[in-house]
Amino acid sequence: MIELRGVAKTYVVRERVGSFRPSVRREIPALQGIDLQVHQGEFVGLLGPNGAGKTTLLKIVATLLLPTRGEVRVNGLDALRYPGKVRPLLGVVLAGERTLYWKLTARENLLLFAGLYNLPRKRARKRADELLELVGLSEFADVTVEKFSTGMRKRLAIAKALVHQPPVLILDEPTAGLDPHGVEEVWRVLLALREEGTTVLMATHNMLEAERIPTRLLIIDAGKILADGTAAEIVAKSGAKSVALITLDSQPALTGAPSLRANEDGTWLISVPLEDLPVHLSALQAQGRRILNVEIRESRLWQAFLRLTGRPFDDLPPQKEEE
Amino acid sequence: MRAIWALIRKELLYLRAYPLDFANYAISPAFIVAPYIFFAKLFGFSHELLDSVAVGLLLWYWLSTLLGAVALGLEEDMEEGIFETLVVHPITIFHLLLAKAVVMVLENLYITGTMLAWFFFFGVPLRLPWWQFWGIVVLSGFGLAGFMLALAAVALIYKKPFVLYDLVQWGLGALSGVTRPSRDLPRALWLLSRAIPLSYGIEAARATILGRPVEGIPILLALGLLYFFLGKALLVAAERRMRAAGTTGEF
Repeated sequence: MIELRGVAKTYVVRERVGSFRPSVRREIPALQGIDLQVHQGEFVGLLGPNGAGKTTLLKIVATLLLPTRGEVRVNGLDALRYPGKVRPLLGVVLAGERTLYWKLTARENLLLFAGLYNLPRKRARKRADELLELVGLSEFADVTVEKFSTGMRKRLAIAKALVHQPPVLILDEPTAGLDPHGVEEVWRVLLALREEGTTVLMATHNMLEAERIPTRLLIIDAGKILADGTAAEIVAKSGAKSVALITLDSQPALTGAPSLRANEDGTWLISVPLEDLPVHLSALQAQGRRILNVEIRESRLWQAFLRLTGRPFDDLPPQKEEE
Repeated sequence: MRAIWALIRKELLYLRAYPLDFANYAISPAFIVAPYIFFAKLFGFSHELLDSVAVGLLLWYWLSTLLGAVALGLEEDMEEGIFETLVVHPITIFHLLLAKAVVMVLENLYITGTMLAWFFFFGVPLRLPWWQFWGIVVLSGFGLAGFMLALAAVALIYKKPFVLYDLVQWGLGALSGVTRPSRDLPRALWLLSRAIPLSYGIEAARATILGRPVEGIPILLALGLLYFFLGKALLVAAERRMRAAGTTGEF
């Protein structure tokens, strides 16, 4: 369905070195030889930090950007040589809110974009009604987009991308900037698309979204794919382990190098691999330490992500997760 | 064709959002017309000459607003952030420009109506063979299409080419003989005027007023065609450069 071979992209930027001095040319590698195949019906998530190369990759597939080298095919068609033939195969939702005409209503937007795909007016009207229903905006069909919330605009942008029933959908961070309610609304639409078997390539840097929505996940950083598989497979392969957090009344004598941290209230917190918990509990009891609390933290994607990307990693996970 | 109609419809729907523009289009021609008429009357020009100035002005104003709307229209889409979304659809930038041109022609019809009303108000009732005149307007518009494409190409790369637009607009006006025949220009400028399709359009429009035979239309078409292909080639090159540089979504 989508095939990338050795795709690399280097941006050339002009860097200012002084207010009135000539700018200096600098090359920034955004993608470094990406090989990827997305099969029909797969919902592939691209998980990576800001600047990892996710948007660049999506824009290359969407025919918006030319790679420095490599090949891109969609349904067997060369996307670099025949962008005009590839575009009807894609539904694209780009990042940002300005992907719609704000002075037009939701329905007018859908009819406009349906027209760009040459859909006959009658069919376009029917499709617009179906999509407004799918994304839960039927009630607001004739309201101008400028009156919409960010979440509503995102859902309408997804509807717009589906207007011509494309075989492939490309989504760039569809829930970025949304409140939890807005995220849930967009997820409902994404899960429905997954159930329908739509082929999707979606960029995200929301860990929970990456765990819940895609059927296959790619971890990307510094323009390279670091891991490929289901979220569970990536967690397992990364060596990220479930941990137990034990809160004690006083400092223990440590064995087996568990992590140790003093809390502000005078208690102590140690982190041990989950499989070693019984051994450590026995040892602590033998030392006469009072165990105040034991909390199990399942190994999660964020741990795997941090391990894979090589960013600083604290054995003690944060008390409150971002999600 | 359906795609172009969808784009035209969108442009028309956008007019609905800014009703004050129509008041502006009705009033602003007066400020353009007045100084020319004032000076023409001050120096006691004949009716033929007044008509001649009025026709040149009308044609130039008509075409320069068309030039601006089309060439700088992309810049508006880029500024709004919608441009990237448009170009992932199976349409070309040429389609976008064409839709803008069609809508601007409709807007210009309205502007022309108000401008004629102002001419009448200032005592210059144009005695024109209108069908012939509109034919010349259309041909002159085609003659300028290459300039529109070239300016749009520059807008894709340099984003806000107002200086260039002003230069082209006023340069075309001065050289093509808006207020006085280009044959009165110094020789070097006259030679330049021969390379501008609008010069032939204005001369043809004046000839229709004076009842003289219309000449220069084949040259206008030939030059228009040449500029069209040059402009289109520049636009394609600019689009490719934009995709390579990754600036489709930046402004």
